Amino acid sequence: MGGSISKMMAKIFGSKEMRLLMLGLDAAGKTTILYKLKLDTDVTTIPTVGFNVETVTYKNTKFNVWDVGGQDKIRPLWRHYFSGTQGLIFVIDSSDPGRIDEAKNELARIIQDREMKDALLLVFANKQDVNGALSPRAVSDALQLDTVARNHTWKVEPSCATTGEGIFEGLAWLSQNVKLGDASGK
Amino acid sequence: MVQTIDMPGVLSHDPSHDSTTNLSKSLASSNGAGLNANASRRSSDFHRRDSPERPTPAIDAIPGGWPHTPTGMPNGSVKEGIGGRDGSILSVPNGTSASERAPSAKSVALSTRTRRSSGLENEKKSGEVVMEGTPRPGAAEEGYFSVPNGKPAGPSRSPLGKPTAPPNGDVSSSTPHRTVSATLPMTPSTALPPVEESSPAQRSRVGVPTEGMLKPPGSRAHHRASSPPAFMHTSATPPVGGTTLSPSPSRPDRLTHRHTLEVPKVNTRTSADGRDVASPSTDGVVSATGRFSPNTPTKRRGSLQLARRVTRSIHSHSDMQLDQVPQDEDAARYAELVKAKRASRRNRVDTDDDRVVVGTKVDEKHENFVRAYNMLTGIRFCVSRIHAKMDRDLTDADFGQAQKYSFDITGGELTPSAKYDFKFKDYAPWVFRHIRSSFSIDPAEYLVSLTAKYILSELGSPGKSGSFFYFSRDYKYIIKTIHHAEHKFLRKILRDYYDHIRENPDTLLSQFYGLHRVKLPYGKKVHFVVMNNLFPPHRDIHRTFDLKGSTIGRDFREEDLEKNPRATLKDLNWLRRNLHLEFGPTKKEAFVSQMQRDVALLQRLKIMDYSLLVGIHDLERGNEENLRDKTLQVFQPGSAKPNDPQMNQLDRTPSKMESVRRARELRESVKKERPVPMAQTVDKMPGEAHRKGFYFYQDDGGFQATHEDDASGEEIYYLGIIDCLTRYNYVKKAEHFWKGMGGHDSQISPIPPDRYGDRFVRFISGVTMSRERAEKERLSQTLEQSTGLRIPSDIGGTIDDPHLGGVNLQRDPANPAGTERVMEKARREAERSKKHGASEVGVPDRSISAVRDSEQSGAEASTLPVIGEAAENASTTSRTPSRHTPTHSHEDVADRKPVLGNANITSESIGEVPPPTPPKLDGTRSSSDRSLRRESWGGGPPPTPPKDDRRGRYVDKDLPLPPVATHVFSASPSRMVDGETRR
Repeated sequence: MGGSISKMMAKIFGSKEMRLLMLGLDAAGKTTILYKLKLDTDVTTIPTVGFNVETVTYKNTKFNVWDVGGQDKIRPLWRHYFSGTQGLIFVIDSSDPGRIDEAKNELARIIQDREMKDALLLVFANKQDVNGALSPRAVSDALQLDTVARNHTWKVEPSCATTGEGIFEGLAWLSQNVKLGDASGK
Repeated sequence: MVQTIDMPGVLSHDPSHDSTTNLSKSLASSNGAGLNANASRRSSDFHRRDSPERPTPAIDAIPGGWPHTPTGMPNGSVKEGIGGRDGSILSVPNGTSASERAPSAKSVALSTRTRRSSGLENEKKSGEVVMEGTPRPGAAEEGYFSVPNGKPAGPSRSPLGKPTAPPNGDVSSSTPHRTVSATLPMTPSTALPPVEESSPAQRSRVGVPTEGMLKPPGSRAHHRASSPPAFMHTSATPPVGGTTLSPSPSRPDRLTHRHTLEVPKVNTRTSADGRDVASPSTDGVVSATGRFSPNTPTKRRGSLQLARRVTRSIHSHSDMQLDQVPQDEDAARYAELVKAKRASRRNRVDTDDDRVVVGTKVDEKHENFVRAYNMLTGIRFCVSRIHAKMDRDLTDADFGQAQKYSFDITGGELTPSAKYDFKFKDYAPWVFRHIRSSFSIDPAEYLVSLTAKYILSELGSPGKSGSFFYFSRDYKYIIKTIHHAEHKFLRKILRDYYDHIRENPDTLLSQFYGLHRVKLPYGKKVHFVVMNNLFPPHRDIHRTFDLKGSTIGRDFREEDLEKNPRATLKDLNWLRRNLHLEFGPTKKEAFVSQMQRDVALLQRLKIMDYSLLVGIHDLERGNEENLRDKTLQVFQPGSAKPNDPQMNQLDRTPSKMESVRRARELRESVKKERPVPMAQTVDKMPGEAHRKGFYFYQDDGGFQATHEDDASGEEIYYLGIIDCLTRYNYVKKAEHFWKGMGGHDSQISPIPPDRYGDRFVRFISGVTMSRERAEKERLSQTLEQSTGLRIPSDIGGTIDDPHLGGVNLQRDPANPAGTERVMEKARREAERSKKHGASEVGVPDRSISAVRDSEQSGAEASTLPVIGEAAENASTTSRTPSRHTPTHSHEDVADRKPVLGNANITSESIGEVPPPTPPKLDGTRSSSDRSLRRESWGGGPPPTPPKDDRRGRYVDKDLPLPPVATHVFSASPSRMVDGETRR
């Protein structure tokens, strides 16, 4: 397929390309993270019905980031974005412990999908700037990553979308951990 | 394998059993089976097979000297009285069968313990005790397993026991079951507790101890533990002396139980296991008796037993027990969760998957699947993309905008990966986004309805136009492929359309939600639009009409209707049925004026060949006929449909626990609530909520009929102007020329847009009137015809409606306009079909026919389209001279209906005072008419508010036209008499 050719090229020239899918409950901060990455500004967002997609180059890696709306109603559409995804960014609103359980269930459903079996999992424990936000540790416990994501490489990164803190660290981790074989996948 | 031991005496008694036992013994040799039989106690206790592995535990349990039993089992010899005091022997399969029997071994151990503790006293009961042990929570599962095994063993014993004493035999049989249950306890952990409990049980004997052991009612517990609970109960009770075992029925019950599925299963297994049983004869015996050889059970592996257990759990008794087991709160909540999840999964399967309401499901095997898949993928992508952006005002450029995407399996920077390669083009995304929002389409809902799953249904075959129709899976949206020219045209008129919609949010025109194009590699470009589905997913449409206001070729052969009762009927069928869009003044006004505005737009855009699609839902018939192959019932538990409150996109999603709780509440209320047939509810379905606020879709997604006084009528109309993308172009002009050759220039369907629109409006508004008014009009027409009086009708409004400007406005007696003309046409049509007679015979009760008032002064001998009821015609028809006087003033109509020649009315009204009617200021006449009519329908209900006369209407509607009705009739005395008699 045509896509693989460009990926080959990318390999030859030492740049990587990575397709990321960013999911999470509504109002977790996905769109804000996306535009922080892309524009490095704190934009005002509306609840996303549908998706935003942007391409960001960071550390020699081209990230194609898909930010898909997380409202309850449209979560059934998530799975249509799974295929071809090399990394899943799951965004948690750390300041909303009440919904962490729901997030856990959604994450489990996503990560256990066949199409996602090779994907890296990066969890942003977002909104760390809010008082009383869950710590990354608490988030990973609450999400039961040890069991839910035992077949995946995962990391929980504390972040704050409005300041950009933690976000690029997360991307760096992703680019370091992309499997070599991934480019040929899908 | 393991096995129960029967008393020697017993064995001897029952030859078959003996054989079994022998077999079992032989098997036992390999496996080792222990049988406990107490000669004195009629029942033999036995038990279970043990797995070799478990022998130890079993042994442990046995400590009381039972160990012997196990050993004996291996030998394959049945040990009697090994247990010692009881003399009942527990045979535990030792090493031989051990591996297979591991569970049984446990059970044995348990049984042994129980026996010990309980004492030999309860021989049979000891077996039961064992079972009781099983009932324990921990043991429960294993118990199930063991049960199966135990059963077989039990039966064999029981047979033995029977020989000794009939009662004993019963007992014995029961015992075996118990033993089975005992097996359950076999599990080491369980086993111990059972032992303790068992002792009490033993005292009471079988029944009592068991119960004691079991947390829940002993008997039930038994059942539960052992798959063959029934048996156990029965047997247990008798032996116990009816003491504790409440459930145990007498033998008969037992027998029945045996015959239940469970027993056969056991047998099968046995046979499968085969070798244990050794001889087929044994199997036969087993099946005959309903008892099983001990051996069989033994063989079962733990896992197998588990499976069995499940099966058994089906048994109501066992279920009950399970339920009764107290759970701690966590467990309960967890169970609740699991149940909810399962239920939701089930629901999802029901509602989302597979079933399509109408048409053919486009699944992967469907020839158009790839196209459908691509359409949906493209729609999802485009709509998602546009809706993620901040809203903004439209610019001129937006109307011409078109964006191309190409999808492939890898996905690009802009496109997600798709299963197939294809190209997709999205037209004017911003405009359609605004159009959708002005129709209050929630984007999330739109996306999910259309594209959450690749499920569409294809409607029939492409129509005349070559268009394919697909319904979204929830039936709310239609995807229609359109011709290239139509697509171009739509883009051209998009701005006008958009402006029109903005100004007329209640428009009757088709609502276009999207215009796209899909192209497969090497394939043709296919354009398609997404539109609203006029018809509701939750209501049966009893009749569908497609009305254009033209009569040529606008007929659906009534004969074909039988073959396809759901066919879309046309103008002539409409007229023949003398139907009306029954809207009272208020609704009529709104409807007609909106239609005029819509048509004006179409005229301006030079569009023609559109039609008014009318779906009629008769509330009285409701959905009972399941016309759509779909059973839809309405639950109205509380008000809380989980989705309801989520209309606001900004709402937070309820947390899991919240939804679980809500689900529970819902479930409870659902339990209380009974499904109500649609007919009895006029409530809005949640799905229709988005159409709220749209005048013509306000009543449950449709527009409900009203009476002259604006009270609600009995029907809901689902209507809209469809097919409005046909331009009056050269093709149509040629068609016009061609069809026009016949000379009925005004009646063919392809005529210039202006005239088309006028004719359309005139026709539709002509048939729009409340029932009362229609009745009145009919009367006055008849009157006019028959008497020669010209009525300065106030009714005329329908035809000479002042707002209706346009072509055929002048009325010329020689050349009646509009509806009249159509009616005339229809009449002729009807006559013609009458001549062909046979074809329509046997159809209908009602027909339009020419009524000749022969009785009347004759001078007029006018011919009118009249609907008569066939049956009535038959009996009453003009055999007798009519007695009415020809001359009436318009005002007299009510009193003198007979004159009118409307059979129904006539009969009642002649010489009688009209029945009491509800007082009405301006509707007196109509109401009286109504009631009269009702009467004529044969002893209908007493005069009541308008709704009641539905029955009559119902008949009207449903029945296809009656050729029969050809008779000429007039009001006749005989009729009157009939009517009176009837009363």
